[in-house]
Amino acid sequence: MKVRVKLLSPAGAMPAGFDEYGEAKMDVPAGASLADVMAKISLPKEEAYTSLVGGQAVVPDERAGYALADGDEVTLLPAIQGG
Amino acid sequence: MGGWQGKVLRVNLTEGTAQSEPLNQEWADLYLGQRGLATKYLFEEMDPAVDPLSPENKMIIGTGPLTGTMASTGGRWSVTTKGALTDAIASSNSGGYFGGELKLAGWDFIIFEGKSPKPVYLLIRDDNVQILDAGEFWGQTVWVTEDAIRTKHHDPLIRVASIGRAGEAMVRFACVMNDKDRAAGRSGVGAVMGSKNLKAVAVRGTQGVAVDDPARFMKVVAEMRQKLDTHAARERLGRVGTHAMMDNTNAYGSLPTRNSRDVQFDGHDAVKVKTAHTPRRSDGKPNLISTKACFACSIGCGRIAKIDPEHYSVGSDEAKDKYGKAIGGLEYESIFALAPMVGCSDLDAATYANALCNEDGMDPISLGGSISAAMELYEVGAITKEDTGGIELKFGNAEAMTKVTEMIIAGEGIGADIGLGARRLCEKYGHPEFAIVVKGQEIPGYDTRAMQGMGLAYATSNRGACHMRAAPFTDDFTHVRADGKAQIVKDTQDANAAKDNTGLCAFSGNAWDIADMAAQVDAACGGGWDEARMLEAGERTYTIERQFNLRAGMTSADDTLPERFLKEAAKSGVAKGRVTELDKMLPEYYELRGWTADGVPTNETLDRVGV
Repeated sequence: MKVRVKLLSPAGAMPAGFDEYGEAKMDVPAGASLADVMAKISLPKEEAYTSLVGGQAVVPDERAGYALADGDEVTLLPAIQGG
Repeated sequence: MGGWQGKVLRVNLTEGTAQSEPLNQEWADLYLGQRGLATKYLFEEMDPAVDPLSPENKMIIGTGPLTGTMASTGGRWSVTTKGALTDAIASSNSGGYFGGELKLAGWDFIIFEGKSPKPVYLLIRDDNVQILDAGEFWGQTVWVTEDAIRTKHHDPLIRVASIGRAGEAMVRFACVMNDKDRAAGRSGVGAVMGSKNLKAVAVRGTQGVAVDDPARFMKVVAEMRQKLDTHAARERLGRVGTHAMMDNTNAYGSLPTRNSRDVQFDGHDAVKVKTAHTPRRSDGKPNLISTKACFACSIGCGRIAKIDPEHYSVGSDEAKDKYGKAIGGLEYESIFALAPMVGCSDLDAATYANALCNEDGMDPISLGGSISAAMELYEVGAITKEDTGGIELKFGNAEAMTKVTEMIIAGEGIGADIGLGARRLCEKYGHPEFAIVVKGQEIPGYDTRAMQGMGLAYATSNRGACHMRAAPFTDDFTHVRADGKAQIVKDTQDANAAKDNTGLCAFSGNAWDIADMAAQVDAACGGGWDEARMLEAGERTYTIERQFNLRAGMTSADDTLPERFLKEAAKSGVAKGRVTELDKMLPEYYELRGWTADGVPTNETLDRVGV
């Protein structure tokens, strides 16, 4: 199945597979979890990331059990401090 | 012993005297510096109940022991006083080069007392201190004043902290500025400076800042510099500044929009960071053209922008000459306040309004929050077209937003009322519920229905609504819940106070923990500064600020949020249908602090923290 992933405010170079706008279309096995998808993306280890599916938050503890559906839109953003 | 210079300059503006005195080292050992130490001086020397705009209020320009050293980001300085906007303790922290220069001139603190009978400025050249007539600068902008003082004294290296016309007019959210676009921004510290007829403080320093153990200091500073410079957050802040946060808050549903009636902004695409970096059609250049860094900083989050030459704000030759060139650009807080909060999707209008804030010394957060309140008052008919002089002060009207900004600075018409700040404005026009403030201070760019911890942080912030007094960001951006926030807010309030006492920038905290900062402080100051002692000083700082506010007449009733956050559910985003559950968080927070159910520190707590 295909899911669309949008990465906001990335640090450093955009991870492989993402365009200059921070978007990627990913082919993943049917039943793949949100955690499976996030594991495929190289993100800085020192930052926590927020995950939204269809605009709704999925907390870190629920990512492994959150089964994505074909066409889902995942948004990832670093839980950074502003100023 | 090093870090501290050991000298305080006490300036009595009523009598026109300036005298050197030793820094109270006993207090420095307890509070370290800057925010905490300055509050200790205020607490011991003045009645917190005084009118903030009266001569009885004192104003302290303070540095930390790492200010002026080679520690990365070690250029911070603060203005600590009773806030004109909030009637609470104010400690506004600034970057720029003024703080480092003050330390290089040999001074830790300047304490201003009284009120000058006429406009003056203070000139410091190392130990040579003069109070000089500022008649020729009064009525001038920050930008003119900085250059004019350097020209007058034939020294391009003089650093100037000054107020613009907003501070002179005692606009309640006026700032103290330095380096033309760096501000001690919040709580109306510029209005206090204006009330004292003090136009500027000009400093030239040629001394060094001694440290306790130079070899250890250089080693630890180099190690910490490496840790900071390779961190993901530093790379992001340098490349896209803080503006990038708006993508996050908009996606999450915590972007205050149209006076916080909404939490996501339909005009976001026009004002987001990507747009600011994209070349425009008119001149092929983007809004953001460069970056800048403060004293000793290796992050460089500051932005330099250029307004579209075809934009209405630079339509005249005079405007083009002043604002059509490279000027200080937008940060997250200024773009949130001057775009979504006022419903405007005009990047150049926001850049222009932000430039006006820099030029005449106003806090863009409070400016946006005050204008958005006025817009809501206008939309319900409480402010009329007659009141505005014909301006259609509706959400989304960028030209109206910039016009009333000009009027606030000039003290004209409705501008004089908006310059009172949202609380006083909304009380005057009969709708106090439209003031999106805490303790009279307009909220920064985080809606508390999605970010519940930030709600508790705003409610309990000693200086009114603030995003820099606690750091519940990570948990708030991953869990929309009230559970667990009290501990996070309490701990990060103490930690942020500890950071603010050092002279380092809060943004270094993305890479450094308190132990990293303590290692640098200890090498500079000697005397056993470790993580635990730093945090003790942080908690002591938070507690003495609380005591100041209680003596100023505040109560637990002031530890609250705008009615909108408590009663009106978020319309969209991750917290759709939710309000801020302050009632669940506040009692636990008081208990963790060792305060009574009425928010008063117990005697046992005061003994424990040493206040």
